[in-house]
Amino acid sequence: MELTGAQLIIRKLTEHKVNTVFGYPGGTALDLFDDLYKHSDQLTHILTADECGAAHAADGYSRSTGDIGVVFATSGPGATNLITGLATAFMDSVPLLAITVNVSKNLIGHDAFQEIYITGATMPVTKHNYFVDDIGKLPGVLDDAFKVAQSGRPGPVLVDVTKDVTAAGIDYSPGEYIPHQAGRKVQTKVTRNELQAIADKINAAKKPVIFLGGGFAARGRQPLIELLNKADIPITHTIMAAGMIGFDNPRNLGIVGMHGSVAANTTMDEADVMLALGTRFSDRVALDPDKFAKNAVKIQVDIDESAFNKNVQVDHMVVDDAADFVRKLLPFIEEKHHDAWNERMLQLKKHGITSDLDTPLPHPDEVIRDTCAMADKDTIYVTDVGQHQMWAAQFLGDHNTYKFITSGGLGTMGFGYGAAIGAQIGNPDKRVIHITGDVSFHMCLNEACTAVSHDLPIITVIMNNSVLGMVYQWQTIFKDKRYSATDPGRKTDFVKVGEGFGVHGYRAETRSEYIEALKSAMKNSGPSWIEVKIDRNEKVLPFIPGGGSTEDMIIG
Amino acid sequence: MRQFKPGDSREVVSVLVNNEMDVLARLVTLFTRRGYNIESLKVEQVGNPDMSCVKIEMYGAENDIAQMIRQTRKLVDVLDVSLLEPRCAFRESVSIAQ
Repeated sequence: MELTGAQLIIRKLTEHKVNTVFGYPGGTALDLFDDLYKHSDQLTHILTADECGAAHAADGYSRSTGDIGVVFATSGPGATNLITGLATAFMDSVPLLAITVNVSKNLIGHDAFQEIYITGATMPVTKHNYFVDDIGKLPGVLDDAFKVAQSGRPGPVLVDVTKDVTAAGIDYSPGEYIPHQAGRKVQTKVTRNELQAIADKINAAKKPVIFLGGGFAARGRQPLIELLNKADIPITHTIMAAGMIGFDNPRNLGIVGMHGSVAANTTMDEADVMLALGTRFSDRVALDPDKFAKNAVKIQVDIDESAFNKNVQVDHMVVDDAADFVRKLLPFIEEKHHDAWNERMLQLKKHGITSDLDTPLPHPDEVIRDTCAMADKDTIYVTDVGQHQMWAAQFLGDHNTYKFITSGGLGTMGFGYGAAIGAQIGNPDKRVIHITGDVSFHMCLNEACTAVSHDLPIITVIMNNSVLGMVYQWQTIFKDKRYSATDPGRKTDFVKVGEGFGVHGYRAETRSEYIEALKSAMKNSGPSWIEVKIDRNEKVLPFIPGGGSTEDMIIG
Repeated sequence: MRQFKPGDSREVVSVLVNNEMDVLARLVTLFTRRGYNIESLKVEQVGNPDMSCVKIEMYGAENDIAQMIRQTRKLVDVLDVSLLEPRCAFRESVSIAQ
């Protein structure tokens, strides 16, 4: 059949079972959006406040549904606005497809209006990208793009198409997949001998631990729990893997790293065998890579071979999907009981964290714990970046299993509202709670217009301490309280701003006021903002300064 | 940026790539963003017009070189990566080309 380039893009998206696209139109994307309009019964387009919000929304959609997230943008500033969103998805290995429309081929290289070399600009923040100025290549490139984004270690892929290609015609036969390029396939088959060798180490261990990263897929959860029970092993995790194993699981010791729990960090230090699944040991986890899990035989499983010995030197490397690996390893594992090691875990877990700051305002742990206690078990929590993010990761889990969406690798302030919108669009029947701080929220609150347009019942909890909390905390500890650029004296009235957008606004200065506001917000059909005042001297603890080790941990 | 350390060796990484317009930019961007300097570089035709061979000369410790090879292999347009032996091969091929 004869299709235009724009029709082909829409066709390929539906062939790949995409039903939602986030984005923003523009001059060069006119044909693309015209066909989107004609196919609105198959593809829902969500217009955001800006393209950065659209990229974060596609990201939140993907993280919360497991499907690929798709975002459209026009050339020039439309495309450059995607960059932070793509980089965020890249650092956390989230499959995204960004389609941008550049100026026509005859204008490429002429500094035309809204022309930008976006494939060049996004090379370091995408898994791969394509520039298409020939309609003949478009079908193969689009199929490749879906494959590259979702296979191996997932990541964002950008396809930049010139405007003339979106209008040009092509004779297209549906279902025919001709790869644009023959990519190299990674061999990911662990051998029986390797499995036996690794199982021997775990079976012989006296103090084993499993360390879980964001690369561990949800389908491996059940085999992993079986493994933990069979081998009697405690588990620790990165912030990216928060929620994978319920915090209510007694074997879960919590987060490792800069703001990790005493139990998790100490266990990593004392373990004799560590099995790491889908983690690159970033500098926020292995603050001093030479001292990380220093007494352990280190076994690392990752689908990305470049994750090996990148940050921490390991003893055994296995290239495989971490979830598949656990399933294959299970039959080789012997039933064990590590009574002395478990006793030590119980002792370590007594180091709870509760703020003892003398203030009439609610403590951060109370805000998070109250939220979790009142929300449904399958609530999706989305955060921005900063103190509130760490508090959320530390305290949400005291109650039950949860879905936790956060910018772990890039640490993108302003990620939260867009991502929450994507999560709510992808999960219309679930509660989405966006936990943010006043300064992160200043970076993304314009997306309120999107939440209002689509009547999304997202509840945003703004923990307002009036300062750039995380940096303020560092300046308190390391810079003798010289608060450079962290105390902006903003007077934003979040209730009024929210109401201006059409959001239900609440303000709480006590714990009971917060609980009442949350109760009321849960009844609203559209979005709600709850500003809850907290003291600026509240700190995220424990805290291991950058480059330090467990011995340097500041507990209170 | 990584600094030279005693014990770093000079290596030549040979990379077989798809002959795409932007493939050289991808390779150079990757080396730059991982903090490695490219001492010299040469792109050669191979028998197949769809492919090219890029030879990159770099300095690094054993683990640096291994990490860079793994990183390079991840690029979608890269078909094969190997370390050239003997180590003088690059200089020879340069002089022949001249």
